[in-house]
Amino acid sequence: MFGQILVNGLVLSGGYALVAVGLTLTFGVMRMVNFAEGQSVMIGAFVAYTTVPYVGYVGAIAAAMAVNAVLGIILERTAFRPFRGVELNGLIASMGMSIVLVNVAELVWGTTPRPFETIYNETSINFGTVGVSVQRLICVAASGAILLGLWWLIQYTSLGRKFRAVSEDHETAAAMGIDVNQVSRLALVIGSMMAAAAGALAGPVNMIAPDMGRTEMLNAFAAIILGGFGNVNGTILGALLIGMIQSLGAVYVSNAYSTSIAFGLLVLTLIFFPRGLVPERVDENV
Amino acid sequence: MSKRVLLIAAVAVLAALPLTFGTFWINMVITALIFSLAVFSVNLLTGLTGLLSFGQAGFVGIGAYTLGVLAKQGHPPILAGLYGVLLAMLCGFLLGLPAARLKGHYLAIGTLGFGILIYQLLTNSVDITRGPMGLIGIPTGGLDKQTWYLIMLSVCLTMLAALAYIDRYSALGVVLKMVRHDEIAAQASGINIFAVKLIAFTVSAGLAGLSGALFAAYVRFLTPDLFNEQESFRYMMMAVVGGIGSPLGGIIASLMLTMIPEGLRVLGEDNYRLLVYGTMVLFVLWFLPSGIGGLIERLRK
Amino acid sequence: MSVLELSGVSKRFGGLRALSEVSLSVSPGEVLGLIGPNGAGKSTLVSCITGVLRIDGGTIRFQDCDIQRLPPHRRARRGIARTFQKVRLADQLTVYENVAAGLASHWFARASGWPSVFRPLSAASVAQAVNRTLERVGLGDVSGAIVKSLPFGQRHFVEIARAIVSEPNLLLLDEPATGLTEPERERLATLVKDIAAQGCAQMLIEHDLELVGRLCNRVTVINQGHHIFTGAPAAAQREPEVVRAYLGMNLLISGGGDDACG
Repeated sequence: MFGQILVNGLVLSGGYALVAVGLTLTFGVMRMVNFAEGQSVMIGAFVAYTTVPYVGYVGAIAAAMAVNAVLGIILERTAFRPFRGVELNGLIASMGMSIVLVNVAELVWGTTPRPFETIYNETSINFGTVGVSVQRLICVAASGAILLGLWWLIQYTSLGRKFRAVSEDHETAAAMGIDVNQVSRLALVIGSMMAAAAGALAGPVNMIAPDMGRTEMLNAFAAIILGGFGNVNGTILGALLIGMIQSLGAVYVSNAYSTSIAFGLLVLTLIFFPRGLVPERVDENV
Repeated sequence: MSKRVLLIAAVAVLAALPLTFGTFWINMVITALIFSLAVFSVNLLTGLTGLLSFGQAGFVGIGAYTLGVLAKQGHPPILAGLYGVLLAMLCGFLLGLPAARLKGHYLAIGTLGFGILIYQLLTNSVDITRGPMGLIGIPTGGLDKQTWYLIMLSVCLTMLAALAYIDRYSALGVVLKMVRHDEIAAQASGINIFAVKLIAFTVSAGLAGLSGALFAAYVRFLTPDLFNEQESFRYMMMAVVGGIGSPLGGIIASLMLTMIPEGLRVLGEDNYRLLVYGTMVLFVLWFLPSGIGGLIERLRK
Repeated sequence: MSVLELSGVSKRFGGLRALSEVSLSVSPGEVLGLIGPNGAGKSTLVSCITGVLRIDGGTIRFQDCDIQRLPPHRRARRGIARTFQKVRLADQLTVYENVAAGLASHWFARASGWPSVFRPLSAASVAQAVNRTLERVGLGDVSGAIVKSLPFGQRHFVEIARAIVSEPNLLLLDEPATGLTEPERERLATLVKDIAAQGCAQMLIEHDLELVGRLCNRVTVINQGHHIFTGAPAAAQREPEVVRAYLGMNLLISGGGDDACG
């Protein structure tokens, strides 16, 4: 039982982390919340679903990430760059994009949820008394690998340095010669690609449907509140926490309320920690 | 002098409108006017006072379900509606207590969370609200569409006037704008920003609750899905399209974003309608960053 | 009988001691200069007085009342007003509206405060106070102008107008002369004297030491959070500790003497 909960929790956490980190990265660089991120997950899942028969599962994941990279570029151009400085409008624009994406998806694939079959869903590996489907293992392993890769990118590459510089201070970064537009574009591309991975990996675990993006987003938000906006490490930890709590909650409390658990936690956190658990820099100069 | 005549003429024309349009369109207009009250709540909270809220649909839901449940139990609808507004205000107050200390994105997500919690409550309290099965047959029939139209027109015009007065002419407007623009300077001028924010949350929630109560009374059928976070986003979008600080723009946006996609129902699919909706939002944002209200301001000059 | 009295005020930020045992007092009608090198703690001190920052030690008494427990807006309502180093005005609103905001203390402090906040901005009581103040600071003819359209120097005066429209007992001016043209500096000097003549106590933070010498009855010098001197401006110039603190900076406190560095 514990093993099952652990694995379920990790699967959930992995998915949430991929989405949440994309969101937090985008937020750090552009100071806008990308409300279309959930749909990026959905599109990734559906592209993977559609291409699996042709290029196999791994190929499908790659295809999903490729399509989403393009999506990221489009999003940056249409929903974010025009609104630099008027962040509220950027947020609303991404909401508008989100509606467009969901409805295009529903036109192409219909509204009924469908199962995403892969060969890995069938097989299981047994760890003692716990039977875990290979698909879930792949989920956890791949999420972990991607997150590790991203962490390495941010800590050790020049691109990562640019991300951190722009997140700290737009003007200073621009003055140092960093192309803020390019960095924003890359943040959105990376975020969308990670969302694609989340969709393609987690899709087979449950069913996929064009409106699946909603719940993905909400849980990612909860993770970001816990971990701090713009803080990649904190967000990963937050996602871990949310995933585990939901997994526990589904078993010990009730399935229906599992979203409530995440948000109840979030609201409680904000009541006691109005600045989030991870304090941001204080930029109020009097 | 002539401005006043123009205003009276405009109101008279608006009041007479139902005589010219068919039932379908009147229905649209009435629904749009009911939603515009929720948009007004956003204008007050976000436009005037600078507080983000992605949970307004929760308060609309509270107003709606309170009227629905109490009316079905036999209470007079007007009283039930009043209770709905009061309950919504209470919840707005409870949200305001922690929310008044939150800033920016934390406030956005925090209010989103609160709205979702309310939605979950409405969905899962099946004994009271009948949850996803829906609350059917709310006993508020007996008023024909023309009357409803006139009621909504009066309510909206009154709210419009009140908000315009607060915004343009009253001392309260300046207080709210100071809280929005610069909290430190506002405090230094003797304004208790916590109290102002708390009141803004409470009143705005009451306005949203009113919208919900009227919705329940008019449509007479409720499901929790009508009050989920997507709806909160919708109010936000309508407010931004209308110009976040402009209630007049809000009404126009509500009418546009309700009627134009509906008119395109001839295309058949629900999805096309929503696609148009999303595209309209994007177009307004790209080409009219201050929304319809900004356009009106520019035309005035 | 002083309006403001600080006794042994200390403030820490984590491990950093921003203020150590600073004491000073200001009397009605007096102009106290607060000077010191950059980073000395002057703005921190002002924030402690207005209540934005909580002090870690010492007492702050305003009109013989301990105000330490009071939040900023209550201190403002009691009659403490301030201007800011970086001008904080609502750019999109008119001069009239910005100055009217300064009356918020009155709107909320009175028992009948609630109804009065709904009254129109053009009401007689508001208009009288605002227009009178605008005349006083020399902005009478731009009352309807949007703040964004005003030159930078004028905005300082709008902020001062907002601060004095409620007739405070203590006015804290945080570097009001920054960026002012020569005629504007003169206007400021006259205004400060005028405010002092009406009995309001003022504390002037300024780097423009010529202005300080002219306008201030006394100066308090702080350096690295410590109080190092209080006395007449001319005497401050001769004090060895003060000179040491300012070493490397322009030292020019006029009193009819020679100019020090350029």
